[in-house]
Amino acid sequence: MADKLEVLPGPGLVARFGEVVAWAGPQASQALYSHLANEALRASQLAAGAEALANSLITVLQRGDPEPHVPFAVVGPGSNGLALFLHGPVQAWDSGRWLSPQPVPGWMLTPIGRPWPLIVLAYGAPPPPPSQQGNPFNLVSGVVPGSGFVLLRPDAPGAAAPAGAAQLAQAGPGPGAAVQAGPAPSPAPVPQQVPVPPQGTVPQPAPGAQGPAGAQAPPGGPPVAQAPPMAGAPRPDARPPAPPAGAAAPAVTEGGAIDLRGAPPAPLAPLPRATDPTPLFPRPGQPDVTGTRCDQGHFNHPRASRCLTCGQPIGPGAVQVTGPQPCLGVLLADDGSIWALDQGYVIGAQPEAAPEVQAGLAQALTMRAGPGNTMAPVQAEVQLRGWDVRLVDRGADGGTWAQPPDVGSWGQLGRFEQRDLLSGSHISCGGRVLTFLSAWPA
Amino acid sequence: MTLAGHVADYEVTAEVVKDGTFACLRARRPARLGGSGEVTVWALGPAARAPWPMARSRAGAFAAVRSPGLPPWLEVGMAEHDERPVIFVSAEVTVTATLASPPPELGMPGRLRALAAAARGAHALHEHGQLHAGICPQSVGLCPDGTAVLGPPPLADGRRLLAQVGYPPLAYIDPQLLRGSAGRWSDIWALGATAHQVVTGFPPFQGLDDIPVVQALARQLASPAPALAPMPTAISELVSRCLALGPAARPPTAAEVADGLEQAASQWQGPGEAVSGRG
Repeated sequence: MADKLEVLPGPGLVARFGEVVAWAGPQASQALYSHLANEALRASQLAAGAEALANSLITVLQRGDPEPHVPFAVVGPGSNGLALFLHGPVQAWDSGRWLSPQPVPGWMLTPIGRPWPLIVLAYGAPPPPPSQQGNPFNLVSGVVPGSGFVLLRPDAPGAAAPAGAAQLAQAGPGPGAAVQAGPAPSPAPVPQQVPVPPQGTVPQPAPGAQGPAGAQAPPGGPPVAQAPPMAGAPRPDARPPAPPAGAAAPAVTEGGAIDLRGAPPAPLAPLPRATDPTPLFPRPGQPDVTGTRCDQGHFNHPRASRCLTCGQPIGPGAVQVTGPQPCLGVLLADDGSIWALDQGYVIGAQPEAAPEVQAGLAQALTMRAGPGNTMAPVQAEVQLRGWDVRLVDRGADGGTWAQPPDVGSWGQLGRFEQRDLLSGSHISCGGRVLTFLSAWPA
Repeated sequence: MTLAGHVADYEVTAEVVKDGTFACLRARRPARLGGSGEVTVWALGPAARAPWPMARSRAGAFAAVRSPGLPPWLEVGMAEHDERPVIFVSAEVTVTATLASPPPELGMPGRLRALAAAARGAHALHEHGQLHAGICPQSVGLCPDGTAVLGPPPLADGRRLLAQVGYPPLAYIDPQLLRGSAGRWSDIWALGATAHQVVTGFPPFQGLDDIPVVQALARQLASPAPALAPMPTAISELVSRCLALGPAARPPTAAEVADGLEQAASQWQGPGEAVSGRG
């Protein structure tokens, strides 16, 4: 009798054909969903089909991971019991320990014996409650939505989820293959000690408490912010759900490495020479804005008195023309990252899910909440409007804050309020701070 | 200076240069790699600042370029170093110093030739479609045999993630890159800024380390061409061209910069040489 498969409700995809089960998180592309579902069906016809599917996936990944941020998993027959393949920010309970791929190479394949229950779900997601006795849900075959799954003994009425795991088999992964997320990393150096506003209250200026950037500290505001998580890798600070009591200690291995000695040449054209100083990374489809051109033909802000590209003076009577919107400046994050404002950004814990990002109208800027704060999946947005930069609150708890230059206090935006930013303005959400700096004259 | 500790399973034997976000270390070659002796490990971090896939992709593309001036890369990975996560890159080369702190016995011609080697490495990268975006004095590694190599690229690629405060220092980042116009001219500007430091002892934009990062970055964004310190004529014109505001006014290739540096090294007459500068 085939194992019982309980699908965990939520976004994502669970496919089962025969004994091969595949799961992918909601970040996956339609192409990946289709590939996993089709290949699971094909693998179900093979001996050791899950392992064969995993190896074919690894072959693709070794040529370049097309979706490194996406969690997905395959489990099913292998040459040595069950084969478990994990990719990206995913975790699996094999009735002995929590398994998750190391950041390098970003995936793992291991035999896991025959554990029940086997739980697969997104990294950091809470473990499901124990299965209830008589639970009739069981995916026998097909493809359904799901945020993960639990594989149970076929005739297991009331089969225990992790709470009873200590009494179950403790099959281990291959040596060194598994890793549990380590402790939270030390906070990154903070280049700008701009105090962040507390959530839920309107901060008041604290006389004399002035940060190096000129921003005054609100009383009680947490003074620092932290680095964002690494996209595409398990968050080092986000521990997976606590293993059940009595479970084996997780295997911890030092970070792996990729051998570069046989790195194949990348088929890239030489970089253009400076005789044609077009941006190396131009973004097609930039909207047109009105500006002026210098004698060399470089496009500038209409108020620029000197060309930013070649330095030549631009007279006040220069003819206004339209041209593609250039990079408007930078966002300097509190972890020292400097982001180009050639397109807007959606800021949050999972901004890639925002419709604007999905549609290619904005970039995702993933930020983890600062200490004592929360960051919604989509918390705030920085929009480019002509030559202006605008901050938009996205209505999440905790809100969005702004501190204009030379103003010593933070002001909270109303829900969904939009506010133009001056160069030097600080913005804050989720306990994090970014500073907008314009490349152009005020 | 010797240093106890590891980066992954590389046993650190000496610290060549180190600051908050960048370390160049010598280490024992792990047995699993075969062979013996010392290798060089660069630790860039904190790793959480940049996506691992980006770092992995950057390192892989760089490693495929083999050229004088570039080290033979061994591995890229993630590890803990000094109690924080870092991206590490190792190479089969022994770096004993960098241009940030060259040994006194290495005269100016030797320092200029070392920078020329790094420029040749940068040119090879450019010809393979890669922008380094991290050329600065500490990224130029000096080897005991008199050769020099260009160290690893920073985690930022000059694309959307333009740069990260620390490596390279802001003073070595082309203002045009910060304005969203990155290209090989960005590395050429950084070569000029590094040459300025090598020859005069300070970078072309001074004082950036003494002010808050926000102000320093704002100053870089607004900067016209820097006012250059007086320099011997053998090098001043080249540096001046590299640091031109407009990319089209800079030398078209890093190979041309390398040629100019080698020529300056061969013509170097010492501190008494005539000087010139751009005010």
